[in-house]
Amino acid sequence: MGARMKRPHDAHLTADELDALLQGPPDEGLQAHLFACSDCRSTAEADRNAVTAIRSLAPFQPAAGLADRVMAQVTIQPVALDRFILRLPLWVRRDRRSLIRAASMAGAVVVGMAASAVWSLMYRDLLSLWGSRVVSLFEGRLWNGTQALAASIAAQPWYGVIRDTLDSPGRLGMTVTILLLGYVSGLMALRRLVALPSRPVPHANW
Amino acid sequence: MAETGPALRDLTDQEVVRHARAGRETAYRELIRRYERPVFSLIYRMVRDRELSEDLSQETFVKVLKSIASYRPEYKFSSWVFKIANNTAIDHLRRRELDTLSIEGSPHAMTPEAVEATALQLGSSRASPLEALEAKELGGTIEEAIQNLRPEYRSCILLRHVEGRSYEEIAEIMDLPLGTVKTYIHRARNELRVTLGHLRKD
Repeated sequence: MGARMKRPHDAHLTADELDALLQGPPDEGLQAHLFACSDCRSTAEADRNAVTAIRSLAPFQPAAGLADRVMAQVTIQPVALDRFILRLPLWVRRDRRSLIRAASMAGAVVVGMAASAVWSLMYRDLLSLWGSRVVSLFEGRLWNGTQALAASIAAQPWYGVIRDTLDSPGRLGMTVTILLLGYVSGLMALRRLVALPSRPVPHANW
Repeated sequence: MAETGPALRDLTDQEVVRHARAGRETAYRELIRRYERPVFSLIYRMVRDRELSEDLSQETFVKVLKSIASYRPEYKFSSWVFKIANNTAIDHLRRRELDTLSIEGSPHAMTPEAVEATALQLGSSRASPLEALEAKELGGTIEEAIQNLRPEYRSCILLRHVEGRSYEEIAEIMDLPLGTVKTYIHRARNELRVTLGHLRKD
């Protein structure tokens, strides 16, 4: 606002300066001018009176049933995207920055994977050359290591018990079910432990 | 979502709009509930006819709700609503100006009767009971002073001082440059100063 700038003492208040007087207390320059200039003082006072009176005007109430009359003319057409967004947790919808950040990261990962796939397709010969070199380098060691590991596991006393347990399809199914149940219970327990508040503090309209 | 009516009241405008766009009628009604008074007040002070203001408010909300799918959430919802309300009122005033300025009758009139009826507007007196009620409602010194402003100035001054909108919001609502809004408000205040001074002397 012009009111904050240095002003000549003899000039009358500008529109911006008069406006600034309506926003809050005048700064020193304006105060000095108002003290000295009766024209500006009466103008500022008239402005303030008018604005105070306008601000005090009561709102008018339309006749009852406006909403019904409006709704009679409107057809509700749901937007699929908004339905989807409303299914997201409230904190995700409210905290848009986190949502945007997460979406950006996911997007970057997808783009990176796509770029990697495209690059791999374009340089298949180079990749197979590198691959064959790596394989020839580690093949022997990898195979020997795997064999040693398998032999070591087979020599363990619990290996025979596990092999007997998983021998029939029924027992295998039961074991897998028990493991899955344990996994899901663990997930649910974790979710409870790190649960976020479900109802954020309502804030004013923006 | 299992949110009830009172829960909608706690939500921001943007959230209620989201629910409306997802197809919840209660959200439509909540938006009307929030804005019916300010929109009606703005339009009533613009056109100064209660019955007509009811129609124009209804038209405003129908426009708002029908085009809610095209509303862009990065803009303030209230500014968008006021923009539609203001345009509806200004459009009406322009049409009415055209009608009343035509001595031969309204250019929109389709029949000879309509032409005659609209031509009579120039000489018609304003004394019906409804108009008397309106005159009482709008009869305060300040209301009269606002009535005497040009429609554009009136919109600006009402949005600024009754609705408490910033200059930037008013510029957005009225599709005007910021400088023009400042000039309009400054001129409106000048006129109000003169009018109110004159009324005080009387």
